[in-house]
Parts: sequence; structure tokens; C-alpha cells
Amino acid sequence: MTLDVETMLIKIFEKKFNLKNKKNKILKLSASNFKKWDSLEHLKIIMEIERKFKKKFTFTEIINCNSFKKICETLEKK
Amino acid sequence: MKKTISLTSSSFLINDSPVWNSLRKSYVLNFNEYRFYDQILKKESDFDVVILNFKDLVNYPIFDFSKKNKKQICNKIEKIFYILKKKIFFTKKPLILFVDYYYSDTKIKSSQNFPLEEKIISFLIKKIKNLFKFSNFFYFNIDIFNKSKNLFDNRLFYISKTRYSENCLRFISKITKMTLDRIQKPPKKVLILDCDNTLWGGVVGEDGYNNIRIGTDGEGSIFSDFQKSILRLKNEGVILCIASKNNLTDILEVFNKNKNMILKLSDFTSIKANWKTKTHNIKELSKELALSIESMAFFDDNPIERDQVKKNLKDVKVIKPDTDISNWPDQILEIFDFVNFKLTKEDLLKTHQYEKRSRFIVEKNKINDELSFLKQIKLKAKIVKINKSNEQRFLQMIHKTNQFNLTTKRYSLLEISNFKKNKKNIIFMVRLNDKYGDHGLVSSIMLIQNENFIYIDNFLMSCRVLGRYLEQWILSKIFELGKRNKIKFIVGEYVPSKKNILVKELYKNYGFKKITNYKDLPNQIKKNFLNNSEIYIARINDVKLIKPSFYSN
Repeated sequence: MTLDVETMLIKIFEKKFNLKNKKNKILKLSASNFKKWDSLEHLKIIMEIERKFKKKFTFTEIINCNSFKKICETLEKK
Repeated sequence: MKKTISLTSSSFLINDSPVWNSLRKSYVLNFNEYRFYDQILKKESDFDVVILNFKDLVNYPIFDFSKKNKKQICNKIEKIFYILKKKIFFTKKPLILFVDYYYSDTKIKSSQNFPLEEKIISFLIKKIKNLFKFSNFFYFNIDIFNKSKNLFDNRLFYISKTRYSENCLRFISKITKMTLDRIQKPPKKVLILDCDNTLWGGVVGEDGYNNIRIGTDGEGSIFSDFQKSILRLKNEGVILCIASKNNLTDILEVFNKNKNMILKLSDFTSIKANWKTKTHNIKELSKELALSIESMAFFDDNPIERDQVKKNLKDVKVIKPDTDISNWPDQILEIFDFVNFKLTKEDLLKTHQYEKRSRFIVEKNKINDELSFLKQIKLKAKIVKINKSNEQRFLQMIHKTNQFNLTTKRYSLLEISNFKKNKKNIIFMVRLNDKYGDHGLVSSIMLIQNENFIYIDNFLMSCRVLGRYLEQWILSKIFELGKRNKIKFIVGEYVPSKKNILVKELYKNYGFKKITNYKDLPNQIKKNFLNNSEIYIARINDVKLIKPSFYSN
């Protein structure tokens, strides 16, 4: 995983979920272990990522990208 | 306090997406879903935005082509439009409707392949057209306006029932803001154009009238189309003028001799071709047409000229031409400042009306004896009652007139019709004719009457007929009415605004006295006074206000 992608993603998550300076928590974050990450927030995160990275996720990728780690991996492949 | 917009759609609009940011800066946004259609009616707001998605309307994809299904879909549309009509009619508040007709994502979209969809679209369009008669209804076809065509985002739909793409939502947000900004202030009335490399390619002083680029080929065809777009604006009521650093003879030669010119000399109300600054010429045009600088837009290819105008005349809308001239024909038509959503007969005749104004000023300035000049021009004014055919003009004047406007009270159609319902209130317009032609409906007046008083609640007049003492004619008619009804006093109100300094002394000049203590005035009148207003009063028997002798009626 490139540092740039991870750093940019952390910034998005920090802002989205109000998790400033909680890098370790963000790295382990997933929809199943964080209440605030509901389906609507999930959509907003993906759209924010699409805007920032100028990349487009497929429907299946959106559904599967339910953790910070998976989002990083998907972005790496694009 | 920010005004509120209620946004209603069958599809989820991603409420806190940044696409709404520009709109949110100026308005409070309330998002509703219309799964229960009466939601549209229940929500209270200053403005309504309704977004109808075709796929939602027909439960896309359609697989049942039976008459029964068609009937069901049409009933649904009928019900929505019944609610919209009710909302538009009763609230009188602006409602913007966005509709898309995009029924297939496949590339093959001939009507033969989609017979039911086509029928439903025809039905939908018919319903929309029925709403055109309401002045507070604004409609946009998303398909036409959204050039990028990436209207939908199927991924979002299957995840969150969001039909539209972020781009499309951003577009809806932008158009909503532009429309609301535009309808809350008057449109630009005058388009001032440069000539060289603007109306045509090349420099006439150097290339000659026959070698400038205008015509049917290449670059020339772009300038031809640009002229066609400008002509369209003129036909929709925009006044055209020229401000060009050129010899007038060179400019006239192009118009008279170059057969490829689409625009003719007669399309322009005034031409300033000289070596003075554009700022100077624009100020001159403003005086000549009796129109404020704020009502003007300026199009010039030269960035130095644009910057100079921008710096010196901050209220002029300086249009920055697209860097690619092939976009100019579209660009000029897409400028929202010119959009006049409800055109009246007067709008369509505007160029002609302002030409008359220009001729009147030139001829009046030539003659020293004003009285004999005014006698010569055969002035004739007429009081016209408000009815369905002219109420739009009345409303338009109330909302657009700034300079000759004593109170600048901007009433809605509903407020006007409520005013009319009281039989003691008087509301009328004035039509003016003279040797220059029919000037149309040029003044709007609203009067409140009781046993002893007539109160002038609204008194405004088009500036293009200034200098004819029409205001005196109108006041004399109000005094005549007072005498007839055995009323003792006429009360006038002046509410200072940034633009109505022109009429500050009007009541004083016609014998009214300014009063500061008006506690003895009846409540029925006092309640209409605005906070910062100046109140004037005239005893009918003491003031000899007579109709100007040069009016034949």
C-alpha cells in the first residue's frame, strides 16, 4: 500500500467520523465494528473517495469495500 | 435570515453531499421524499423544487405494455400534477420543476422501440405545459441542459435509491440557485457589444467591410451564429447597443454593405462608435435610454476593455467570452441574467420602445421651448383596468421598476389579487400614446381609499416615458377621483431606496406637505407605511393640481 493513498484515506476518515489523531483505530475500522459506518455513510465515504482520487468504483466494489483495509486494497488495484 | 427551499423527489438526493454546498450557502435546504405525494403540499417553504424522475414514474424497466399499465402510470402522473397545480396556485410561491425523460440506458432509443414510454412522455409534457400559465412556475428539462449526459448513476440507485449522478445533482443545485437568484432580481435589459473580433472576425478599419470574417464558412460561420443568438435575445426583449472604438462610418459601412451580416442597423437601439472609453460610452447609453447601469451587460473580446469597465462600472455585468469562440453562440444564450421567464407583450416590443425614447430625447434637446414641443407630440394617456390579459405586465412592473418607484413594494400576484378584492381599493395601469407611437402600459398604481383619505400605496412608472409629465397627469386623475368621491386628503409615501432618488421630491413638487406626526391618520392607512418612509399629505381643495395642458384627454 502506498503511503499517499493511506494518508489521504486516513484524512477522509478522520473528517468523516471525527477521528482526529486516531490512526490506529482508523486502520482497523470496518462497517461491522463501527456503529457510525452505516449504509448511508458508506455511500458518502465512497463518493468522497471517488472525488478525491478521481477513481470510480463498480457496484460490487462499493458493496465489498466495507473496511478501511479493503478500500485501500481496491484503490491500489485501480 | 436565509430563505428556505423544499426539495422533493422520488429519489434520494444525498442531502449532505457537497453538490448542494453552493445552494446551501444562500438558502436553508429541506429535503423530502414524495413517496406520499401530498408531502409536496404539506411542506412550508419560500421556494419549492420538485424533481421528477422518469424511471421512478414508470417503475423502470417497463415490461408490461398493456393499456392497464399505461393507465396506471398516467393516473400517477395526473395525481402528481394535480398536487403541483394546487401548490402553485394556492401558495403563489416559486416552484421549480426538473424532469428527465431518459428512459433507457441503451444506445438504441428510437421511438419504435419504446412506444409506451413515448406515449407517457407526451402525456407528461402535456401536463407540464398546463402549468406554464402560472408565473410562479419554472420548468427545466434535465436531458436538454445537462450536456455531459451522465445523468444517472446506477450504482447509487441500487445501493441507496439515488437515481441521479453527483454531476447531475450538482447541475440541479446550480440551476436552482441561478433561477432563484434571477427571479429575485430584475433581468439585464441591455446588451452592449463591441464590433471587431466580437460581432465579426477581424478589424474593419484595417481589413475593410468586405474582408471581415462573417458568413457561412469556418470562423465566419461562428460569428454568423453568434449574431443569430444575439438576434434571438433581441427578439426576446433584450435591447442591443454597440460601444466600439472605431470610426462610425466604418461600422455603418459593414451594416449597409456586407451582405453576410445577420444583425441589421435597425436591431440596435443606439450605436456609440468613437474613440472615447467604453466606460464613457456605457454611461452615455445609460443616460440616453434612461436605464440604470445595473441593467446593462457588456460583451467585448478585449480583456483590457472588459477590465476597465469592470473597474469603473461595478454594476455592469461584464461577460467574459469563452476562450474558444466556437462556444460563443451557445454561451450568450445561456447567460441567466438575460432570461426573462415570463415575457409580456411589452418585452417583445422593447427595442422599438427604447428607440422611441432615444428619438424623443434627441428631438426634445433640439427645441428650446419644452411646452410647444410637448404640444406637438400629441400626448394621450389612458387609464386601464387590471385583468387577466395584463396582470403579468402589472406584476412585472411592480418587480422590475426601480427608479420611478415611490415605495418599491414588491407585491406577489396573490397579494395583488387580495388587494383587488377590497372594493374600496383602486388598482390600475396607464397606457401612453404620442407621435412616436404606442408606448404600451407604462405605469402601475395602487390606491387605498376610506371616507376622508386616498392613500397612494404604490406608484411607479417606466423610465422610458420620463420627461412627458405623465406623473402629473396621473396625480391629477387621483385628485379628480378624490373630488368626485368627496375625499379631503391624498396621502403619499416615499420609501428611499438605492435607486429611487429620482422621485424623492415628487410629492413636494406637486404641493404635498411632508408630515412627521401622523398619529391622526387612520390605521387602515398607517399600517401600510414602511419603517423608513417619508409621508406626504395634500388637502385636495388647497392644492391646484391640474392635468398638463398638452395632454389631449
